[in-house]
Amino acid sequence: MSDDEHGRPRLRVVAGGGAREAAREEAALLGAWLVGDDDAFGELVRRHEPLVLSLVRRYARSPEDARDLAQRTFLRAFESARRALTRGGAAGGASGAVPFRRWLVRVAVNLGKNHRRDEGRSFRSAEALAAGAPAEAGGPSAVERLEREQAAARMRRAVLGLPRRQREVLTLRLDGELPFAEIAAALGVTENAAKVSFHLAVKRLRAELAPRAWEGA
Amino acid sequence: MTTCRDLSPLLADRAAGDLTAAGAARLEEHLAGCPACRAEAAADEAVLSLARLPPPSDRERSVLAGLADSLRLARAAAARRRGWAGRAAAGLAVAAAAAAFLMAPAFTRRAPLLTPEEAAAARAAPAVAGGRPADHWAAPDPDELWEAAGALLADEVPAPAERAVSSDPTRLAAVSAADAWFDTDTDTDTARE
Repeated sequence: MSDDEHGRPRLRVVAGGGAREAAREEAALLGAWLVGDDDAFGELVRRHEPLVLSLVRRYARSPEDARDLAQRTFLRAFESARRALTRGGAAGGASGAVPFRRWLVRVAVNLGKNHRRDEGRSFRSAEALAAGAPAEAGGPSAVERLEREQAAARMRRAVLGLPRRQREVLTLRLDGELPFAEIAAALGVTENAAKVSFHLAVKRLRAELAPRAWEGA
Repeated sequence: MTTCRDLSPLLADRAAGDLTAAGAARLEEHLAGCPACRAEAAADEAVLSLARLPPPSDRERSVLAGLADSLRLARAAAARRRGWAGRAAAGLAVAAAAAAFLMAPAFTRRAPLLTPEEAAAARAAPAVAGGRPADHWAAPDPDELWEAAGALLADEVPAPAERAVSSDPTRLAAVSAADAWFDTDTDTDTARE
């Protein structure tokens, strides 16, 4: 870390391996951001942007909606980091470590849930996303593609209708591709409980699909 | 002998994409000779494949590409709002302090100023009555007013939970409190599980 022309510390991130090294880098980035280093802010956003976007997409009605949700997720997580680091003292501590990524995941999940609740029955995110999905070149016929899109839209609605914990675990796994240990830490449950929720969610979704298969027979 | 029931946890792990290499080898061996379990695995795969989101469209990619820039703008706007809110709070605090200084006599009177008889006596003997007001109201203490204004001027007054965090020496407690902050809203569908 070196000082800029205003005497504020500036961070230069160098490549490093391992989760511990990544955590140290993140703590340093947060410390630098706290004293006004705009590059550190940009770097933190760049690091976590793909994860946050992948999590909020499911709840968004449009790309602009997804961007808004992601933006709110970041602002809220940064605000909580600022509080923890400046006021808590103990939260920042000598290591300056705050679980920023875990907070981002948690905020994204909660904002998505609230967004879904606010939208109520008129929620159409699944259809909106399906409509914007690129067609696969050389794929199935138009009729088959349409049928699959309809089934997928139905299934994504069913995902949003899952009980809260099952929906959170399933989407963190499917959309965020997070390991169960990280899902468990973010949601404050055990790893085994997270796996059970995932399994229950799959069973429930299969049951949702079953009547339709019977109707089509 | 391994039964389908024995391997059902492995099937669940397979659906979750969380199978170890040893578990995968064991399960694949079983699946090769068990049509029922193969059908189970295929059904899990089918439902999860449908539940996945489609890849981002070109339009989605282009909108989301501007996230970092829009975040910077939002952050600057939030800082400006905090600045305005701070200045507004300061203005209100100063106005409140001034109002308190001016209004204090009205609230600190301990009794009606003068009865008609006393007023008449005062008019008759101004030298005596001239000392009475000092007995009936006390001027506000400037230090108290300054402290009251200071409390209003404070940027943010920590919530009780946050004060507890500040005084707690353990990081775990602080993190838990921060987590609680994310969950301030109520959720009604938890009970459905």
